[in-house]
This record gives sequence, C-alpha cells and structure tokens, in this order.
Amino acid sequence: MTDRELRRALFGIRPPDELGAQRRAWLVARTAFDEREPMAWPRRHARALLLAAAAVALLAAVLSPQGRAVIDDVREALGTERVVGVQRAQPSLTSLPAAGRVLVVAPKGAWVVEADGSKRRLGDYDDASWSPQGLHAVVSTRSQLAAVRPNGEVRWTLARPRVHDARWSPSGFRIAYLSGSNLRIVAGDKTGDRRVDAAAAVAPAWRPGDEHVLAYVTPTGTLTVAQTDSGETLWTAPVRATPAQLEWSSDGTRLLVAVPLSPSRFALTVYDGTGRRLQSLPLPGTFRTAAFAPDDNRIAVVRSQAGRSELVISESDQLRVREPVFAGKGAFSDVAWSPGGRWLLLGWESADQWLFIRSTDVEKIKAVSSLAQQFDPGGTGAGEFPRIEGWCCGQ
Amino acid sequence: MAALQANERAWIRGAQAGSLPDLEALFREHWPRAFRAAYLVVHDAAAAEDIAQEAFLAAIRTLDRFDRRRPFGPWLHRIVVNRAIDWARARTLRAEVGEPALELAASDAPGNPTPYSQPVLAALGELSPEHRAVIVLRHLLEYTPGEIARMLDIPRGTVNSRLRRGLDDLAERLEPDEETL
Repeated sequence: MTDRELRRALFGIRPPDELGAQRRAWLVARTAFDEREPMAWPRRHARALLLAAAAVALLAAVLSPQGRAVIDDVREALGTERVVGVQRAQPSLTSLPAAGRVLVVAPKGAWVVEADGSKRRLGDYDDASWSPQGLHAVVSTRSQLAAVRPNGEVRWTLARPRVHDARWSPSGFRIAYLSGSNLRIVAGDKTGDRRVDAAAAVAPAWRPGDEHVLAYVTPTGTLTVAQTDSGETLWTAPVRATPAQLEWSSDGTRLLVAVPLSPSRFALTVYDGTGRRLQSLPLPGTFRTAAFAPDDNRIAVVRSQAGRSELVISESDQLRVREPVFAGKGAFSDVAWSPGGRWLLLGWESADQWLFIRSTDVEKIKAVSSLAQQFDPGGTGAGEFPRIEGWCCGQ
Repeated sequence: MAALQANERAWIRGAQAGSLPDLEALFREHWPRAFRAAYLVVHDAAAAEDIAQEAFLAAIRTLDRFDRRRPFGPWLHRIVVNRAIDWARARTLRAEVGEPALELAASDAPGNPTPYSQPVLAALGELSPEHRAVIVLRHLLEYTPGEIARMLDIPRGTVNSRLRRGLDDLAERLEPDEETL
C-alpha cells in the first residue's frame, strides 16, 4: 500500500455516529462557552495582587502574633474559586414548574417543597425518601427510622442502630432499610420488622410493581434480586466493587447498576428483569447520580470530570448514545425527574443553584440561586448543599 | 491554506471577544479531524467522543490566554492524541488484568470507506497505541516527523522508528495470506 492509499483509507474511515457526536460535543462546548467568564482586569492582575497581599501578610506575621490570622485569610482566598452558575437566576424558589413536591435533606434537617415554592421542615433527619403516592416520607436519623406526613406529623418511629438508605416499596406495604451492615424490612405500618440479609452500603432498590422484589448488594459483592416475602432469590450477578447506585426503570424491566472503577472512571451496567446483562459501558469521570424517567427507559446521568460536571440523558438499551443536557464548572449534586417526566431538577452544588430543565427542550432552563441559605433560615447556608431526595406525585 | 489561517485567527479573536458564531466556526473546522484521530487511536467511538470533547473544553477554558499567532490545530491535536494514547494504554492494562473489552465490536461500524478503509482500521487496531498515534498524526493529520516529535514530546528519531515499524506492521497485516491464494 502506498502512502497515498493509506491516507485515502484513513480519510475514508468514519467513526460511528460521527454527526451525532459532533452535535453533542457542540452543545457541551457551547454551554461551556456561555458560562465562560472573560478575564477581566482585576483577574488578569490577580496573581500580582495576591502575591502582594501574601507579602504584606507575611510581614504582618513576622511583626505581630495577630498577623497569623491575616495569613490564614490570604491562604483561604488563594484556594477559593467561585462558580457563577446560570445568569439571571431567581433569587429564591417561588414555585416548581410542574406539579408535585420535592423532598430535600439539608444540614438542618429534611424539608418538603410544595408546588408554590413554600417549604416545610419535617424535622432533624439525615435521610428521606417518598412513599409511592407521596402521602408519607420515610425518614431516618442515625438511631431511628420514622414515617412522617408531608406536614411533618410523625406517624411512627422505630429505634434501630445506624439506620440509613430507607426505601418505600412501590406497593406502599414495605420499607427496606439498612441498619449498619444489615438489610432489614418493615411493613409500612411499622409491624414485622426483620433482618433479611447482610448488605453493602448502597441503597436497596424496589422493583416497580406490587410484588415485593428488591435489588441489593451483599458485602461479598453479589448483586441480588430477591422476592422478599417468600425469601426466594430470583437472580444474582457479581459486581466488581460496591455500586454507587441501583436504579430500576419505571416499568421494572431494566436495572441500572453504577459501579465506581477508580476515582476517575466508572461503569454503567443494565440488566433485564431476568438478570441478563444487556449493556455495560465504562466511562471516564466520577459518577454522581442517575435517575430513570418516570414514563420510559430514559436515564438521566450526572458525572464529573476535570473540574466540570455534566448531565446527559441516555436510553437504557443504548448507553453509548448520550444526549447532553447541561454541563458546567464544579460539582452537580443530584438529579430528579418531575412527575410526568417533563422537567429535570438538577442540583448545582458549586454554583449554589437548582436548575429546572425542560427535558424535551433542554435549552429552557429556570435557575434558582442561594439554595443553601434557603434551607438554612437564619443561618449563612454553610455546610452541605441541600440534597434532592425526590420529586413526587403530581396531583 | 493562508486563507484558512487568516480565518482561524479571526475566529479565535472573535471567540476571545465572546462571539459564539466564531467559536462555532472554529469547532466545525476542527472537530471532525480531532474526533477521527481520537477514534483511530482508541478504536472506541464513545471514548473518542469524550476525548475530543474534553480537548475542546480545555481549549475553551484557556481561550483567553491562547496566542492567536499560533495555529489552533496542532495545539488541539496534541491534547487529543496524548489523551487518546493514555486511554488506549489504560485499556490495554485493564484487559491484561481480565476486564473484557466492552462493546469494541459495536464501535466498528463503517462510515464511507474506501476498499482499504476497513482492513486498515482492523490492522491499526492490532498495533500499539504509540504506533497508531504516529501513523494517524503523519498520514491523517499530515504533520511532519519534527512536528510529531514536539507534540508527543519524544525525540524525532523515535518518531521515525515508530513510523517505520508501524507502517511495516500495517503492511504485513494488510498483505493477502499466500496460503489462501
């Protein structure tokens, strides 16, 4: 083969879905460009200013004990980069763009956000998850599981050690939760609490439907899908590491398992209802979260890489095809679909914003800023960014 | 070529000033070759898309500091090809410790090939990432060995030897099997 033939052959090779890849990359690039902060005069000279400030601080430290505090201030300023987020964001949450309620866990407890934007604190809980109709939430502290109404009324409590990751079954009759390294199940009315199996530290996932079928992972690395009333194991599969998340599709025919492979790499695997592995795709970056749409097999996936995060939508049977929705600097925290699937709620931790994004027209974005402070009345909003635990149940 | 360079400088200047159409022009000019180069090194379309996309994001992040007198392509291709080599090496290591190469076959769908394209793609896949990279840089992106040496940060002699060895291996794999004639 001559050089010319080789060149022509190389030019003739076209990667699959070349145009789709170009379109997706352009959307991501355009978003990054829109968020770009052109270097202004003060920033161009920031290094010189900071060096001068550091020199002054050093001199002050030498001359006085109080100077040490100045050094600490300068060190903090040097290490801080503020992410601006979406421009023209609303300063406060005045309404949700779709029906339903959003469940939130912030440093000062669990909250319910109503469709009109009003917020009610449920109590000082570390974890929360909706019941299937949104009539209750199951909440937990380190030593207690509780069922509460959205108005904050406590229906019952159950004292157990190291409680976390409680999930209400789609039937409404069971709650699975982790107590230390044990998987336990209790009925929705608090009766019949029992240990099911040893379990790794990943939230169990109920398969949609009236049968009480639960996916969980054992400490030895076995993904297990079991009928919890009969105790029958339906299928198992090995996992290479403790998954970050287990998530069933709304029709219960697909189970997504997200496994971190390294700090900069993770794998998404999709099983069908019988345990057959349909897809497995390693991806660069750090997995954050994923959520199936409420009405089909689309998955919203959030990952971070190289100081940026992105939200993409994939079909569970075509993970390779990823539609970019939004990308930005810093960390995204959570994503939730609205009831009906028309909106996505994305938490942008680094920008202290929530973004409501139309799932059918991802350029339509409603942003709300100062989220941390909104869930910290009377405080400064310091501490963890509020976690979105679900958007439930249109009227 | 001179007209393209003038256009490119204008696009970079415009993008630095905040012009989205100029950024788009720059993207459209450079994306296809960046994506294709990454694909030919890693042989995985999803990974190639991530690599090329990350390279463009890196370009956007540093756009303000970019020297308009320098051509954009070599700068971008340097990022793309080095990341592609890293990715392909990492995959080779993972395969060695037993992880199956996932969905590789699915990524080999042809686009608009010449009669040689599919055999060349298959033969390239049998070379090391380093050999693939120099062949792609030389024969797809048309850089000189000196330019390739600077992009990969290796001696020019190493580029030449990798090219020679890579092309020999490629030719050997593309030759018809005499026993079947």
